[in-house]
Amino acid sequence: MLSINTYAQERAQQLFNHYKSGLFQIQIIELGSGNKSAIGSGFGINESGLIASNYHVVSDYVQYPDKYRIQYLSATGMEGELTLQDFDVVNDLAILQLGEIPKQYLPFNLASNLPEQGVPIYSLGNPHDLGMIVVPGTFNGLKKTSFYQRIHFTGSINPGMSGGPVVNANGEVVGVNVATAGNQIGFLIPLEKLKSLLDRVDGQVRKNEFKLKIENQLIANQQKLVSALLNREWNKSKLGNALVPDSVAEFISCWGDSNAEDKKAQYLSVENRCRLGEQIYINRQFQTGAVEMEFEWLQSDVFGQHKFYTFFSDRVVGAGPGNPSNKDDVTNYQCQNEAHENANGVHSKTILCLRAYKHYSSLYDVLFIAATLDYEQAGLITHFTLSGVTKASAQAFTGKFLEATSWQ
Amino acid sequence: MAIVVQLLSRNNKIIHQQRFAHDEITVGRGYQNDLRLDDPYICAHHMQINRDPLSGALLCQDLESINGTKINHDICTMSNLHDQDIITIGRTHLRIFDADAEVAPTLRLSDFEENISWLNKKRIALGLTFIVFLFAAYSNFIASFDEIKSSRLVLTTLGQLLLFSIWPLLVAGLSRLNKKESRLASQFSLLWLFLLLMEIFTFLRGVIDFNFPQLPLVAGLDALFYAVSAFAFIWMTLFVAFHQTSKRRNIISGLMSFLLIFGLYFEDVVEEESFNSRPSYNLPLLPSTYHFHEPMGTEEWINETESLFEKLEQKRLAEESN
Repeated sequence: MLSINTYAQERAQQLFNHYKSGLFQIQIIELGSGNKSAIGSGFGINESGLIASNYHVVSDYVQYPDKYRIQYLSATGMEGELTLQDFDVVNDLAILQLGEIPKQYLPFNLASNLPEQGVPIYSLGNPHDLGMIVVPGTFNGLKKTSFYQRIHFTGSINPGMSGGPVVNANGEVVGVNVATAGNQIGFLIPLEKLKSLLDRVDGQVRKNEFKLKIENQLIANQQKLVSALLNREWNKSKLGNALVPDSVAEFISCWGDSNAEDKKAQYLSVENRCRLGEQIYINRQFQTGAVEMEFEWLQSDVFGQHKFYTFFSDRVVGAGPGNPSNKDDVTNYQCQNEAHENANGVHSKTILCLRAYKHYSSLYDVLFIAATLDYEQAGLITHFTLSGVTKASAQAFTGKFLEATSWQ
Repeated sequence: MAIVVQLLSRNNKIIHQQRFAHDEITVGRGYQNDLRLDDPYICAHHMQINRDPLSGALLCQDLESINGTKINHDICTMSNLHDQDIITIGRTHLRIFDADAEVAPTLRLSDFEENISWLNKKRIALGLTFIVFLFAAYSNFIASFDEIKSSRLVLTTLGQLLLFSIWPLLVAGLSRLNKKESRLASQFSLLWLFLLLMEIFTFLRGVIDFNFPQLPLVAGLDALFYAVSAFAFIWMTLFVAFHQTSKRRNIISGLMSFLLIFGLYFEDVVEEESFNSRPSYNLPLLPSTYHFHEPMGTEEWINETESLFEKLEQKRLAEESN
């Protein structure tokens, strides 16, 4: 164990020395005060001085280009300007251009293919003003249940290392760090995503096109996501007297819960919750791309029907969105209450709540909740949230969801 | 020709009243006075009242007393008296006027007074208390989803009724203070009837909400109903408790019910809609026997969402222009 660690440390040290001239700390500077508002890492990818980093590292600048500027700090302590060339909000990538190429600048080479599973890889970054750090870890393959393909990395990445490269033993880039505070397991963006963004880069993106670019990327992504959910038969599983959707896609993970163990409970509650594990970071207070589905079967032999429905009413309130948001980004929710009966004879009361995105006018957050009326002392609550979808996607998904439940 | 002397309390309520047949009255602490007042701040021969033989007007004269005589808070030694003048000697307030002074016109006894006399029957009040107790206990039972002991249920409900009882007790007490019959049973009957009315309204409202959630103007009609029933309740309470002119009663009930409704709807009227990251929705559920409204099929349901998207778009544009 000791020898492996020592080997890893030595290996890391070699990498550090060889590549430190290609690694930068990326700093977002608030123009008014001159203070740093965010830091992250970035790395050189070609001779002409293109730098790769994370979108979320430069998101302050993308959201408010007139309030911030971007600069770098090299491993030797040199500072200089950076200009934003392009970004991919969905895969959390940004491409920047060095204003002036420093002396002794050595860019990283991109690996031609992903390493084998279990092979050691190294995550590099400049999280503090202390200089470069190297975190050795193991390549564990692509995360199988991920819609936004991520590499699974065992090794803890510090938030300031976001945007730094992940290299194989030959020092070739295999991915980009994405780190969020408090995660013991890091995720990396695979090389493919970086390569395809690089292919698209053709000169600097104009500041007034940032919002439109984000919107177009979000629209394309939700199209892909929603059609992946719609274009397949949903698995069904039993929940009380109902059949409800379960593991509708490999990237949606589900888990169940029930109070059957609670001997004192006056009612039975069995639930099944499914969720897309990742979200798309837009800014500090606003994320999107979330998908949640929840089903809860409630039944009581103790409660009379009036009491049961009072209890039932109590259980359907208080649903919230799956993504964090802020008043600069979204409107308040607007809701509509209807009665619905699907083709399988499931009769329910429904609430549909929508809120619009202020800067991306064709996108909405959707929250749906329904309660069935078919049993006197039992009922099914069905619920989903979608964030960042178009009207057409929202309607199509809701339509499929409404028809997805049936009685056994 | 006679003179009336009224002894008043600090806030000018009549404590005692005496009629004198002669035209001269002496007032003081001494025993030979016509009106003897046992107030240590009053002199033995403090003041006297005479009638002017020519005009018939009453004259008040201070007899060089130590603490003086005040008419409407002004010290005076000799003055004409008017009907509403308040004389203060020592710590005592008096009103002295001609017995011929006109009294206020007679109030007509209203039929209404007779018609609500049944409210004051103890049987009715007790019966209503029992019904309200049952209603309240049932509501408490319906709303507690954990195991609940019946003794606990009874205690909680009694506590709630006791809390409500403050109102009739308060009004009846005030009525007694004003030297009127307290009619406690009527006050209780009124309160319980009002609460039952609210309970029934809430239930009907729930059924309507359950069937026709998108009904327009419902919030406005709600407010109107609450305003009217609060007005009626307060008006009746005052009618039973105090002998007021109808104008005064209308003004007080109007003001009180306005304040109540204003308090209830204050936030909606005054506050601007603030940002909330969670939706505020209401999904009242009742057993399907209360559902008379034909449910929609999926296609129709989806079509209905168009209007929601439109509303939202307008909201977005409105917020953008702000």
